[in-house]
Amino acid sequence: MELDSLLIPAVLFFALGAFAKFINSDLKFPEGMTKGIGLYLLMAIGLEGGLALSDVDFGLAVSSIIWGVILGLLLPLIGYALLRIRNKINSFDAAAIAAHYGSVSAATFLTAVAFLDVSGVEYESYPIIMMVIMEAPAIIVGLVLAALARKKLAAASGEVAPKTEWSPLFKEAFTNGSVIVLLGALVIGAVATPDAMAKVTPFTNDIFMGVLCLFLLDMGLEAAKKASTLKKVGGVLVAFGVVMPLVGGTIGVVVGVSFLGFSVGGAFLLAILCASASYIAVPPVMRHGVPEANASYYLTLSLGVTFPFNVVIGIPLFYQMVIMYSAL
Amino acid sequence: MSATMCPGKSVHIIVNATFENELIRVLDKVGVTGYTQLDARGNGYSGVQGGYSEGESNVMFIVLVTTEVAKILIESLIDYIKRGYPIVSYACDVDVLITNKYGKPTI
Repeated sequence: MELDSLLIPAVLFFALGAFAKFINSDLKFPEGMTKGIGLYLLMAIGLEGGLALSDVDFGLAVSSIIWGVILGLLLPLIGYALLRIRNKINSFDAAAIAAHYGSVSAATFLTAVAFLDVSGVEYESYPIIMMVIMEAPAIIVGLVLAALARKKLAAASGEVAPKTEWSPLFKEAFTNGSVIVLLGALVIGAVATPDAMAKVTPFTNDIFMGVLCLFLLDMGLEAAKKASTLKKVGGVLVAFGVVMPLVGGTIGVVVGVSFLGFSVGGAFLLAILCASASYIAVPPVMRHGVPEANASYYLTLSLGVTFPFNVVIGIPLFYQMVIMYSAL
Repeated sequence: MSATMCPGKSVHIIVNATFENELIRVLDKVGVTGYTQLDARGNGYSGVQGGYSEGESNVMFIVLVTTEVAKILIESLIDYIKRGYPIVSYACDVDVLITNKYGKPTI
């Protein structure tokens, strides 16, 4: 199973991208292309999830949403606590990094979906709803932790802490493009008539895996670019980039199987959500909301360490974990 | 229409794209009458800014101002730098071609 998970085209294209960067190839995507492909992927997965929503259990959907919020609040707090052990990472860097790890990466999730599709494993649509829900809470936790650190720092130096303007930051957390597209597509998929949806299927379904390959090719290029700056980030943070997904993924497995009663596929997708770190939606909010944090840390960690770790090791590992835990 | 060369300052400011709107507000507040804006890529304290996503895209502003306005502008930027914003800025002496095309000097 481990090797099979690496032999799906999406993962192989990711490796190709990384290889191209490694040999200094001039392979480069036109500007804005990846952003466009990313929007397509979110739209397609949203429509697919929306379509499946028509026959979901309402009670379980509500529980999923509640657990999405709980995990979105809990994971960044765990991440922050881990980073602050022995006081090696300053509060601002820790708050900003923790926000990234509490939030989710759609690209990791989609790679996990591709893995399930190839393996012929069924999954519920609840994790797609949870992906939407889990974007924002972690951002808010990160901003609050940074505001507290600012207050503490100001108190220590006898100054008045600069006032944080919350409203534009909250607006950014709740209205960022990926949330709007994903949530909108979910609703459209749920309310559109099945006949009309069938016409869209070639666009959202048939070409989905091919487009995902293209997307992951660019992700490979970008991840390799980021990985080349690992030295600047340091051993402690790189270790966090590997340990945190293991902690988050394990929590996801337990919540998915024991608390939400998901199938193997569903619990696995939740584990991947908990293990992944955002690299598109959270960085802009942190750059503006926590300017004291060094952006190179969180950008390098989420894309250069955690994303490749999840794609290559996390996906087969969490899948096995769910199977073993479900059998207990 | 007359045109003359007038001494002034050219201030260059490089910031993350998320700071763009705020910087435009600052420029307006200190009395800058116009600016030129470019997308910028590079490497430095915040790591490689490759323009891959909004969080890692930089913008560069070029403004032509009088020495007095340049001073006020730099002071405003220092306030932000003290709050932790990574801002790269520098000023150079320039001779600006001034016309009265719009009825008043343009810097």
